[in-house]
Amino acid sequence: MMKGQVNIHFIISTVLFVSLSIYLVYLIIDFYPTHSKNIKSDILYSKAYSISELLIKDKGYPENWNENNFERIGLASEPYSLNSTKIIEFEKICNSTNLTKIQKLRDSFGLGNYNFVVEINYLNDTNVMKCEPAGRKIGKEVEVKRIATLNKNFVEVIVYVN
Amino acid sequence: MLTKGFIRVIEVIIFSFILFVLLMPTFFHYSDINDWSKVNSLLLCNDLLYSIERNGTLNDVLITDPFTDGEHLMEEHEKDIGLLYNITEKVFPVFVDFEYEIKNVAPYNISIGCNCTPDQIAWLNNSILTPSYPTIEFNLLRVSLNNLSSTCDLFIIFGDENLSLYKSNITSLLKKGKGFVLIRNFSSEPDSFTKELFGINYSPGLSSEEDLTFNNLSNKRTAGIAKRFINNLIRINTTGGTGKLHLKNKTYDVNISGNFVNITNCSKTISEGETCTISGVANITLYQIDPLSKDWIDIKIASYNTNKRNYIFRDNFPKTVEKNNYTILSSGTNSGANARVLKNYSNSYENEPRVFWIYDYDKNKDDLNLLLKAGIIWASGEHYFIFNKKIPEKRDYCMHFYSGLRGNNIPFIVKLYFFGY
Repeated sequence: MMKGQVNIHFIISTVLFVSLSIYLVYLIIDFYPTHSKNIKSDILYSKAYSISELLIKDKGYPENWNENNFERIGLASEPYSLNSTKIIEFEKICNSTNLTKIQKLRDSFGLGNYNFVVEINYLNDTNVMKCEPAGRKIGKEVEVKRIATLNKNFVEVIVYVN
Repeated sequence: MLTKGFIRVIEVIIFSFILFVLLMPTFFHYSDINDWSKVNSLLLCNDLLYSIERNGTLNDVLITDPFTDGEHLMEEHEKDIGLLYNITEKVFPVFVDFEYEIKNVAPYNISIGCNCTPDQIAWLNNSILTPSYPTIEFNLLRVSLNNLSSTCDLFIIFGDENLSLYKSNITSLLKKGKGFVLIRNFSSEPDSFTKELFGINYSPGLSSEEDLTFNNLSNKRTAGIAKRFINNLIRINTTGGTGKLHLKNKTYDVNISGNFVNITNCSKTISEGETCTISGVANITLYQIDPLSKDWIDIKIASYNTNKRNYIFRDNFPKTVEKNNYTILSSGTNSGANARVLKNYSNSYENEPRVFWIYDYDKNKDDLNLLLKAGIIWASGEHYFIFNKKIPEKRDYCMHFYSGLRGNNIPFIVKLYFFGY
């Protein structure tokens, strides 16, 4: 072979190598952020869903909990039937300025460092309560809406997590 | 040379493999598994059906209460449906449409075709097809067995008809979920299609006065008819303030005085909602007195025994049909009524056709008339859509099983379809 000459095999394999490398980089750039965002969104949705399940189906612990002795928050007397006394107690906790209590509330939902907001409204849009712990205004990234009953009326329980 | 060529082959294999792995994502279509909007809609759907159960909303929506002014029942019914519409509309986003499918609750209106004479039509209208909440209207239409209309929910067949002659017509209607009720005695072996359809095992026999009871109340089908029997209504004509009630083989006088009704031999005078007992015969509950002119009263009857469904009838009864798995009313080894669900005619539970046969009993007897009424309502299929909307192919639904309406213990299913997102 003469100096300065390249054979056809080298040219083909170089072209293939470069194009495949470009394609691979493109795939990674395209794939990773989308799925990473989806995974993050899934985590937020699952947190919001688990909070909503506790709120509308669980009695909480202890069964007759109040703002001072709650271990786990649940607003139901029985699944899908909310208890107005527990809603009032929940609102008191949410409005508390005691950061330890607020952190206990977040821990009881298994939220760690995530923030949340809970809204309960009658279906005619009349607000029953809004829980924004420690007055945090969060970006409402993920929203899960549930339906339950309160004093023989239908209510929507909306949980936002960010 | 051999070694050089061998390495080239390995290179090609490795290269092809790497190429395949890299291009794999483009070979497959990945659907979006993070479809939370659909999950949210399904959650709302299920939550709504559970909450409806908690609130007892369907007790009001599916049963129209009798009005003091009977002229406005339809308005009341539409108001009930409107209530359900408003609740559901507020739950789903505005771009989502919905429809409810009900199974095992009779609709407000049942359409019936019948090959009957004018006398039979009059008897059906006066003694059988009276309002029975939730079914209030029965539209009765005379039809020929040659030309059965598919607009009817069920067909009542009187007399010794050879149904094999109409097999294709009847079969096509059964496939649409339509029900059939046969009222006749058998004095000889019937045609094969009648036997197959209504589960008739003919055996020659004589007639005699007998006690008849619900056959095997632990059987789901028999219990289902018996539950409807004790929850449906007998209407007694009380024009002029008096009427007659025929139970078993006895007749009882009925007298209205103000808001009270007195029935001969009944333990006490009763007002609406109260129950009295005719010893050894039945418990009688007054449902309603005609609010306008007291021309009729509606009552419910049940057994005086611990099990209210264990009612005992008495009638002159032809012992020509043997008891079998479809029998719901029997005396000894003989059947007086059969009920069947013909599952092989339908692919869906909701559309399974139901058929009911009863012997040609003494039509003056109010308890047996009530049994026929229960059979007719059951055979209608008890299946309907509340808003009668067209449900597209692309839709989702959730489903909930309810234990009964207003304590009647008749389980029913509600499917909530949502679409358009």
